[in-house]
Parts: sequence; structure tokens; C-alpha cells
Amino acid sequence: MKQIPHPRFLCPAESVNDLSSGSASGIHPLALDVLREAMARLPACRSFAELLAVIERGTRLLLPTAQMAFLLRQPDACLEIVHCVPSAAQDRLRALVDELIERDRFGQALKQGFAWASAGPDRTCLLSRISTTSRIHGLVLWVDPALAPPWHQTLGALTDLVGLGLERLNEDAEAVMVPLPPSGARSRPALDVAIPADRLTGLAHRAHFMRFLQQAILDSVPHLSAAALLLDIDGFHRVNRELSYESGDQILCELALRLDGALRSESTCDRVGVVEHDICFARTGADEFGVALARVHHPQRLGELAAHLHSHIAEGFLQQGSRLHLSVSIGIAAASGLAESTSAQDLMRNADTALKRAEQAGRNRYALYESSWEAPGTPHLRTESLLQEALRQDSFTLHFQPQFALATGHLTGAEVLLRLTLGDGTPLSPASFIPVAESTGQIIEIGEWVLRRACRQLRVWDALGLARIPFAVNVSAIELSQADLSTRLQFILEQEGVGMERLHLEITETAIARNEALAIANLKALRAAGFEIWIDDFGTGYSSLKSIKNYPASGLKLDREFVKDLSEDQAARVVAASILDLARNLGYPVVAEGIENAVQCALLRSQGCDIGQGFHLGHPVDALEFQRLYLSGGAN
Amino acid sequence: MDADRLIERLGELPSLPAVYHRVREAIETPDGSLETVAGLIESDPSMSTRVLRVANSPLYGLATEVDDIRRALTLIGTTATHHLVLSTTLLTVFRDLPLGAVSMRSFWEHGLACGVAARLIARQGGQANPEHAYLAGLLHDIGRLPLYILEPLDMSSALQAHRERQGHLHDLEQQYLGIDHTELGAILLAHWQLPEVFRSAVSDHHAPWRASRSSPETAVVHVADLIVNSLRLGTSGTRWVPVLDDGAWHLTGLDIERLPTILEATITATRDVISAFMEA
Repeated sequence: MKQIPHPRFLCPAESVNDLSSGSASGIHPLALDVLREAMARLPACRSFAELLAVIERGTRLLLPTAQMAFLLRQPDACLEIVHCVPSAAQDRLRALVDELIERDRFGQALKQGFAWASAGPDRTCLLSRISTTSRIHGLVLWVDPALAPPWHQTLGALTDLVGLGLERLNEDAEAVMVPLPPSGARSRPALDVAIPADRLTGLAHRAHFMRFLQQAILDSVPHLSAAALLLDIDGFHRVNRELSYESGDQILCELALRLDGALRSESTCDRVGVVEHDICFARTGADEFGVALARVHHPQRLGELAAHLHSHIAEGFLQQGSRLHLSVSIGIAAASGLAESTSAQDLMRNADTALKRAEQAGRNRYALYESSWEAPGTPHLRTESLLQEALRQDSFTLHFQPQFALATGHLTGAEVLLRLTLGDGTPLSPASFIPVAESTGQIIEIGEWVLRRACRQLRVWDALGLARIPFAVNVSAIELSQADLSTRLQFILEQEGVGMERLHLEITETAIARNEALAIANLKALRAAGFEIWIDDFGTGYSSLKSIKNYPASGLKLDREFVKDLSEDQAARVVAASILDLARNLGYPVVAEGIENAVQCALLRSQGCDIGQGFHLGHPVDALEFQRLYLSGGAN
Repeated sequence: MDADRLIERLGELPSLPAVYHRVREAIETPDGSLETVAGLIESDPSMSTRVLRVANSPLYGLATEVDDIRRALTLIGTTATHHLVLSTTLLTVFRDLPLGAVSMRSFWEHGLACGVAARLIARQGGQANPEHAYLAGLLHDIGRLPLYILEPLDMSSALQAHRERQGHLHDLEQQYLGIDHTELGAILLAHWQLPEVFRSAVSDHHAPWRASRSSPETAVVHVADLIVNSLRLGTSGTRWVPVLDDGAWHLTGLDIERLPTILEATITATRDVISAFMEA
């Protein structure tokens, strides 16, 4: 951007006189630059204070010694001074305002858009209306001896920009204007009007952020990208819990200020090739911050930007006399025009996916979103809305796969499986929609739906006097990472009137390993509440022998991988045998899944596997079919 | 009263390391030599790496890359050697302390940028000693360190008020803490026994007209601070660009035509100087 020299720098001694006469055309040579800059800065303004700063800056360049007063219409339709520049001139400006009202200059300005007044050599002033076609917002008063009629156009244009800015801010401002304390109480010459900002940190809200990001995407072209960074403080709930909410708030505030300062800094902007007003920094969640970037010249350096932000929090935070180090995970996603039609929501979702990756990789990392993460042919967004639709229309169904005691052939229970069929009758595989549901958090809602449905099915069969078998239900890693999992599940079962012992929760080792401490605490609470816990996919996951003895589990499910090759492969047989041995030594019963033929079944039985499940023994079927095939005999 | 207590507590800040004091002694004793200084620096490997890196940065404009401490010190001279050692030790000592709402990195970026700009202005204007202007620029906001470190709560209230546009941060410091960073900074420099030229530059950089005998260094730092604040090179907390004092501008001897070149040079040189100082 072109550097605009300070007029005093141009000619320190005589500038005021030069400027007052204006050029032949009536427009000051700097006027267009000032307006151009004001227009460029306007989109980034997220509070009235920032709008004022734009005007103040513009005015300073044109009239370095001007005094200004901003008056806004209050809810009671009165005009009230909300800000004075310099604040020391407040009394003087207030008196001048009173005088101007008396001389009906206000009425004139409100009607005609502007009004001139001169009351002595140092009291030449211009009043200009802040308005748009739909509304009058207030007035700006300029006082400067150098003011002359040619200034009206430039200053009027600046005022119109404020009007436009206010209009835009008001769209998402809840409380637009807070009047100053009654005049006389001058202790707080502050203004806190029209700030659609987060109260704690003073940053913009998510709504403004999303709008900024959407505009950034619309503005993006192949060589100028839009980008979103999501920053999440790792384990922030611990700060609140172990220190206090006040400390937590203070740290959030300091973090926000520090990063805000860093983001405004030239060295930061320069890194990825943006200018300051192409950045929107917002609080997008409780302990989550978002950085939206427009017109990024060097998207390939976004990783460097993340590392740079990390360097600004490396020294930690001082709390109650001791130092606290926070780690922040950062997810980054960029969109570079043309390639795909992206929405702000898409970009945020991608950034969130990247954030999850960063979090999984460990503390204080960043990750850049790659489109190859998505399985081809399963558009994430489409799936997400399909799931929402399915939940709303209740179009999920449950299937049940029987489990048998291998020794006796008796039915011991059923695994509950979720099925989704699209409107046109094509089934959607859980392998494609469960990961999406996990990444969007919909899995929580879906999990609850499954649980309630399963409970109702149990009640139906109980009422019919059929065999009181337990159901095995899958619990996702996301659910397992919720601190209130056990309370929530108990609540649901109590509401549905089903005993906890009737549900066996299947949880994968990988899910436990993601946040082992919390997972184990959850498992213990669930066991204590009466649920049974089965470790799913045993042997394929992350853990294992070392930690398995710590799991408060009821039993293990031998993964189908080990069952698959049992009949042909000697090695598979040895592995299966040792897992069964291990389970026996630890006192865990074992369910083998994926039994597809009689040979596998016989081998497992001979090795002492307790329970079996698989196509050879019974396919997953819907409730009616399950009842007909496996329960009716027992009832009679 | 608050201010007095704060001044008493300056002793709680980390002190300058022994090696700095020994270097200074060696420089100031009549029979001391850069030879001795070089030996002292070399005894601390991480310090010698840093000193060499900074000596080779655009700050000193050496014609060729120098990889020998003795040679580097001889080329830059005694005064610059003192300042170089002081600045590297300061940045090392105050590198890893949390300041709250400002990162230590932003703080030093601001100081270094101001030092770079001050040196450029002094050289172009021909009124101030460039080496003195550099150190004065680097140290101009040093008083904020004790404010942040010793009075984190009051300082965060002052910052909050500043964000709410209630006034310049230095005025709000006075209001919330009874002292501002210029006054406290000058006292801190007195503790470190730095010469008057730096103390008055630090104490008057927001009010150059106040100085009884206005020094060109003070004027240069005043203008440099304004420039780096408008360029947003780092930050020590303030979000407003200070108001230019005409007297100070004239005192720098700077020709307005030179300003664009100085802005350009400040931006590029600051980048390299920061990485010379900040990289581990």
C-alpha cells in the first residue's frame, strides 16, 4: 500500500495555512488517499470504537490539530456525545455543542446533512450527519481554525463511511448504544457503544468472524487465498477447575491480547503476505479462537504463521505467583478461489478437522488441512446434512446380530447396529457416515438415539415375555471423551426404564487411548453404575497388553482380523490362541466376531472362546426378523 | 506512595549477569582493552554466538561477514561493543518471563525496531549520535517491564482502559499505578548506571518538550517511536500512535524527503535484527 506521509512531515511549519485554502478543485490532494484508506479499513472494523479510529486517523492526516466530538442517537432519540478527541477538550466541546444547538445548527445539519458555524477565530466548525438512506445515526463535529468549505466533501464522505459501518455493525449488535453516565460524572470518558464483541476478550464474535471469512472466500482468487486458523487451548478446563474461573478468564484475556498484538504486528502480517485489515481475530468458542485471513499472498507459509503464534505464548502466563504454560493446538485450512466453491462453514469445518489432527498429534502442534483426508466420493457436507435430516425424520434403523455361547449354542445377546437408508432406498454404510458424525459431533446425538431405541426394543420384548437378553451397543471415542458420560447414560436408561445390566457398552482400545485418564475414569464410573464394558476390536488397536489389565472391563471382543484367517493360517491360529489365553489369565470372557464358517467356529470353541458372533451364526437383521428367528422359540 | 513502593521493588527484577559488569569494567578502565572484552564474551559460548550474529546484522553494516569476536569488536568500536553486550544480555535475561497481555517477543520487537529506526534517523539527520540513539531507542519502553512483571493486575486494568480508548497508555499508567513507564524506565537505567543521555531519552520520549536541555537523542527516539508504532513493528502494549512534537521533529535534523527511505530501511533491517537477537 502507498505510504501516506504525515502532512506535518510534508511541510512542518506552514502546513496548516497550505491546507486551509485547498487546491483549485476544492479537494485536498490527500483527500482521496484518506478516503481510500478509510474504505479499505472499514470491513475489518468490528466495533464502533474501531470505526471512530478510522475517522480519527483520516482526520488527523488532513487536519492534525482538529478537535472532534461524536454524537450518537440514543434509544430515546436524543443525541448524546459519546466520544471526544482529545478527551481533555470534552468540556469545551460540550459547551460548543450546547451553543450550536441553540443556534439551530443541529437542526440544519440533521436536515441538510451538514452545517457550518464560526464563532471566533479558533471556533470554526463543521457538523456532518452520520446517516444512511434508512436511518440517521448521529453527528460528527469538527473544530479547527483551518476548516473551510472545500473540506465539506471529504469530511462528509468520511462521515458517510461511518454511517455504512454502523449499519453493518448493528446487524449483529445486540445492544447498540449504551449512554454515558450523566454529564458531570466525567471519570469515565469511555465509550462502549455498538460493540458486537466478546465481553471478556473484546474480540469479535463468531457471527462477525464468519461473515468476514465468507467475504474473504468470495474475494479469493488463485493467487490470493482465504484462510482460517482455529486455535484451541489444550485441556483448558483443567485451568478453570484447578485454579478458578477468574484465573481462567484472565488467562483467556491475556492470551487474546497477546495474540491480537502479535497478529497486528508487521512481522506477522508480512510472513503470510497480508495487511492488517485482512485479518479478523475472534473468539469462536469458550476456549477457542479463530483467525480469518483474506487476500493471503503466501498460503504455503500458514504453518510458519502458526509456529510464530506459538512463539508468542512460549513464556507462559503468570497466575497467582506461579507460571503456567499453556499449549495451543492450531488447525489451518485455506481456500484459493476457483478450485472449489467453498463456504465459510466448509472452511471452518476443514480447519476444525485439521485442529483435531493437531490435537491427536500431541500438544502445541499445528496441522494444515488436506483434501485427501476425505474419502473420495463422500462429500462431508452432504453426509452431515443427511445425518441431520435422518435424525430429524427418525430415518435411522437398528439391526441386531445374535451372539451365541459357543459351548452350548444358546443365544446370549445381540449387538445393536445402526443402519441408514437414503430416500431412494440405497443404504449408506456406517463406515462412511460414522467418521463424519464423529468429526461434526453429531455422534453424541446419534448415540443417544441408538440408546433410547435399543431400550425401547428391550422393553417391547420384555413385555412380550421373550428371553431377557442384553444388548451390546458401541460407544464412540467422542462420547468417551465427555466427562459426564456415565451420568448421561444412566439418566437415559432411567428415563427409559431399563436396567444398566441390560446394556453392554463396546469401546475400542483406540478410543480409550485417545485420552486415557478421562476414558478410564469414565469406564470406572460406568462399571460402578452397573454397565458392562467390552473392549472392542481387541488386538488391532493402540494399546494393549500393558494397559489392558488396568481397564475396568467385563470382557474382550476378539477382532475379526484374527478370526478371518483362522482356518488357513497357522500364525493366525497362534495369535488367536494367545489372546484367548491372555484373556483367560486376566479373567476376561471373550466374544469372537466375524465367524464366517464352521471351521472357524469349531477352532474357537476348542480353544475355549466363550461367545461367538458372525455370518455363520446369524446375520444382522431388523427387530421383527430377529424376534422371529431367535426369540420366538424361547418364548414358547 | 504506590510509585515509591514500586521503585523499591525494582530489586526483584532479574539482575544483569556478571559477565556484563565485567565487560563494562574492562571497557571503562583506562588500561582495559577490547582484547579483554573479547575474552570475556568467548568464555560464554551462547553469548559469543549471539554477539557475532548481531554484529553481522544490518545494525552495524559490516562490509563482510565476520566470524571472529575480536575482529568484530574492533570493527564496531568500544561504545558499540558496550551496547551490543548490554542489549544481548538484556534480551537473554528478559526473554522467558511472562508479561501478561504482551508477549516478550512483541515487546522486544518493538524495542529493537525503535532502536533500528532511531539509528537510521540519527545517521540521516546528523544531529544525534547514532550509536546512542540506537540504545536509547531499544530501551525507550524498558520501564514497562517492571510494570508488567511487578504489578500485573494494575497494569492489566490500565491496558483494559486503553483498549476502551480512555487515553494513551502512558497516561493510564500514571492513573492506575501512580507512575508511568518513562519515569520508571529512567530510574531503572539509573540502577544500571547508564549515562544521562539514555535516562533522559527514556524519561522524555513522550514529552520531548519537557527536557530542560532537549537532546537530539531524545528527539530521535520520540520520532522513531512514532514511526515504529505506526508501522506496527512489535508492540509494548499501546495501540495508539503517539502525537508528533514539532520541536522534536526539527531537532532530529531529518529532511522530510528522507522519510520514505527511512521507513523502508526500518522495516527490512528490523526483520534481520530481530532474527539475529531472537533465534535461540
